[in-house]
Amino acid sequence: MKKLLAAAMIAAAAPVALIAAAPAAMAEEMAEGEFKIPTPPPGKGQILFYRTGGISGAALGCAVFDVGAEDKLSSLGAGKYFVLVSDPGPRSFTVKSLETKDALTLEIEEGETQFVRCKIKTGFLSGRADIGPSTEKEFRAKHKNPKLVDAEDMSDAVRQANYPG
Amino acid sequence: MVLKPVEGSVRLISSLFVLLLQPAVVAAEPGPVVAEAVAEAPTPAAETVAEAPAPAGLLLPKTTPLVIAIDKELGSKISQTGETFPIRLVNAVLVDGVEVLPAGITGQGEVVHAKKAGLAGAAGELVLAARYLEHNGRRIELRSFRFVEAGEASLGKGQDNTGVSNITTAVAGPIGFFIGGGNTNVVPGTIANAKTRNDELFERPAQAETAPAGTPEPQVENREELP
Repeated sequence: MKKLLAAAMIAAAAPVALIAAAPAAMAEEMAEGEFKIPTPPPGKGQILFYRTGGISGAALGCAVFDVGAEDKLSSLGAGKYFVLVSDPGPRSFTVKSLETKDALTLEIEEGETQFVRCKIKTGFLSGRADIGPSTEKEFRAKHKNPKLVDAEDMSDAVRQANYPG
Repeated sequence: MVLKPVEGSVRLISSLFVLLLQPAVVAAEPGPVVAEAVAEAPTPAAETVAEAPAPAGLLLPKTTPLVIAIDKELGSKISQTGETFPIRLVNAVLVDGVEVLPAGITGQGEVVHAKKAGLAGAAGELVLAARYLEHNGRRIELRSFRFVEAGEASLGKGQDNTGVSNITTAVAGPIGFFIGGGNTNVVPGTIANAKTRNDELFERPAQAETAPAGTPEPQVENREELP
């Protein structure tokens, strides 16, 4: 009789246990499979700056500035990213290195995320930082394991957006 | 009398089933409760909707996706930042079955950023914006210009040879610095996506005004998801 009762309980509990376990497994799979890009606050747009990992230029940072500003927004190490929340409209950025500097202007749109990739290219004496427009597809394809820039490498405004609270 | 123990075990098993099923029943209960609450609560909102006059015109909501064509050759090498270029609406836009923006109307776009390909494999860059379309003397402002992407490739930049340049430098020395990147080129007729910037209200044609009461809310039939 005890065996019968035990078998009946297992049979009854099995579907419940399977149903309860399934969503958790799916959630883990999604969390592992895809990096979730935050949505910009209401009335704002945002730009995701990223730099892929790699050996070339790994020791050099890619410091991103607003054009004309003296203080950097943040500095991208190899394999790092940060998100800049901004008012909609055109905005120009520059990256500086020992030999040269590079600039990029984007049109930021409310509620949308744009992507900018930084690369370190060959120079005469040292590597040269280069920024260019990118896409979410390229970001996801080439930046498999994105890591956020350390808080101390960000300006106050950028830090508040990337490390809230 | 001999069957009594069996009857007892059957009762026990059935009570176990009832116990196991109870959480599911309890979990299912909030549904009707929420439904009742929704049905009872929002009477003021419902009254507001009922009192509001029916829209006199046809509303084309902001951020409606549009398909446009670029009618000028552009490129990271040949274009200048700030240069304008003609655009054209490819697909007509219908609201509530009425064509509010016919295919073929023209407007203007602007080159936001253009940079030639450079040494060390740097790719050419081209960032464009769609500014407006014109129809019957009226400007429909646009936003959110996007090239139609094919895989990872985008017309926003040319061939990136930075990696080749870096490897060549590592293997063969400074010669890698002289490897150039590719420019991007946009030929006339290139298709792209844009969105309307503002809500746009259009007059309902006379024929549409005679439509019977209870006509459904305006529906934009051109809605497509942007990539």
